[in-house]
Amino acid sequence: MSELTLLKHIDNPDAPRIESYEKSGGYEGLRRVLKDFSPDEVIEYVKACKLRGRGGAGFPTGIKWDFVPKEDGKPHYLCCNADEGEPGTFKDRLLMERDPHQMIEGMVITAYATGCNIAYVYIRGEYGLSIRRVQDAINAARARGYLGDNILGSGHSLEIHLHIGAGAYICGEETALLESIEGRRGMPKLKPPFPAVAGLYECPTVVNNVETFACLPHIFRLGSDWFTSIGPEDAPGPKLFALSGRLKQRGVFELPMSISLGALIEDYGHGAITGTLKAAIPGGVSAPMIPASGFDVGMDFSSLAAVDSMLGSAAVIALDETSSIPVVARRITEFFSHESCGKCTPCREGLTWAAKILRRIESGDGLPGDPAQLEMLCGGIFGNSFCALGDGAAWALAATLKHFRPEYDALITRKTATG
Amino acid sequence: MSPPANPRASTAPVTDAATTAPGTALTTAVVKSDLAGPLRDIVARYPKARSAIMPALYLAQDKYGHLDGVVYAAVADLLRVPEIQVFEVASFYTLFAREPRGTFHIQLCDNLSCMLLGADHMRACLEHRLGIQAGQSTRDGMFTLSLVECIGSCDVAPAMMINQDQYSNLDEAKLTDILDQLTLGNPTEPGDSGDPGAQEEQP
Repeated sequence: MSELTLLKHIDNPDAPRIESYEKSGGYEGLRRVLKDFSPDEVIEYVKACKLRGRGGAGFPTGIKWDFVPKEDGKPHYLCCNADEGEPGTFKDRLLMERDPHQMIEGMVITAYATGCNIAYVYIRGEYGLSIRRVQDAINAARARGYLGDNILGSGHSLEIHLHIGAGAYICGEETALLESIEGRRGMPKLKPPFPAVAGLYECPTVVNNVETFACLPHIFRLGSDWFTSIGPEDAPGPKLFALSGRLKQRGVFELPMSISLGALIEDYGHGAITGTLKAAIPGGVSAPMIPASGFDVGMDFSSLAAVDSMLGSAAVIALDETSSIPVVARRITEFFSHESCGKCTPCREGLTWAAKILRRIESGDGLPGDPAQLEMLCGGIFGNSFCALGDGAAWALAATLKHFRPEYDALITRKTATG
Repeated sequence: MSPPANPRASTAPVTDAATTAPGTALTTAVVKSDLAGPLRDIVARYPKARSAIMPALYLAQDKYGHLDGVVYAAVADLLRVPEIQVFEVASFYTLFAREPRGTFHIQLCDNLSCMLLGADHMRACLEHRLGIQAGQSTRDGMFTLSLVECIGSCDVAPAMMINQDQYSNLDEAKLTDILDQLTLGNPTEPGDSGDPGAQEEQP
């Protein structure tokens, strides 16, 4: 077990208080940044650390910041994506509820690097305690001079406001999130232009995930050598993994990304509740499931991509022998169908159709051609939907057919045989 | 087991006698005067007033229980945006209620992690106890039962929210206890995941 950083103080009930945070080195990273670094040097430092976004896509954070135009005369905006809605994911919630100043400090560092004076934290409306804790943290940070005008005498100013989501998974997609802050329906927009160039109110906008921000204070307090010494070379630093489903122990664990899925499940999840595991979803329900025979895979961006899955939100959902794969697929597909914003036809109609077929199979009325029909639909949705929601849904469904086709066939032929 | 219908997708109205609509006595002028003060501070956070539509709808919903045309007109007037823009937002986001809801809005998560740990059974228990289907309200206006997507309580599944409070690690006995207490008028302490004891320990 490596030493904890992000979760080090999570069990201390005083951790959300700014006094407690400062006592454990909080806001030292920010002081160092404001004293010793120019904004460009902050960006270069984060690039050298190879910090990759913790929201799902794993894009290099420093490179994203570098896309923001310099001295363009426009206001720049910063957004924290705290719309954690990927089923199985609850890591950002833990950070916001138990140690929220890490994220706030990371936001101030980012705003300094990218020239932002206004920031919004987009928190999903279901996270009542997160909302209260983050607002309290903002108020405390402001009272201490870490927010507001001329932060710690640096000349840089920043205000952070909360924008509360209202139950739309799609708003986790960054362009939909920005639309939502602008007072519109959360429907994704075409990229390019990317938000870094034309985002909120058509101005340059940086959007990062809660956990990404939370890494930054530690990077500048402990140094890039500390950060790059953890985990694989192309994905260094501490990472939070959320474990749920049919595991004896569930929760959030901080580990290097080099850990294998199997070790995560056995050593931290303590194995299946009943008998043996048959599969696991490695990164929230958009990530294609991996059968137990493939558990010897590293929980990092490139290793999971190599086995046709993805790290996504690093939320592992384990399935044991009591879990019916067609039922799991039905539930996942219903989720995506419900959360489809309706903008594009492949996602809106394709997922509705797929869910209907899956319900039919589950109720025993499946037709012999249904699995092929589902495969056809997956092919039609994947690559043709407007944003990643449709792609993820199709990819996740296709993996259930690829690895567990006999379970579908058994449900269908049982009916054919008896009916 | 027959697959559940999808109550999220339906616009099943609540039972007619569910609640007395608090909006009936409201006029646009009253709503405007109620919201104008708090909304002024909110509008100041954004460069464009349209951004305050969601916060304004939350203010109204907290005050009146649900949203209707009177509220949309008032918010549109206050923010100087077309009313359709307010309605577009109100009708897109599931946390905005456009129908009256019971005093206690039970939101049971039945997404994957909760489903794998018995959410469907919890649903059956709730429906049996309340005598309604998911998507409906009890006749006395006390309870509305909804199925919701993941609420981020996957480690302590199955889980639900009642109004703003989270309840986790549900089983039949716990559910009965929670509903008994609510019916008697003294809610049990919700299983706040902010309590460090609720989290699994690091090995």
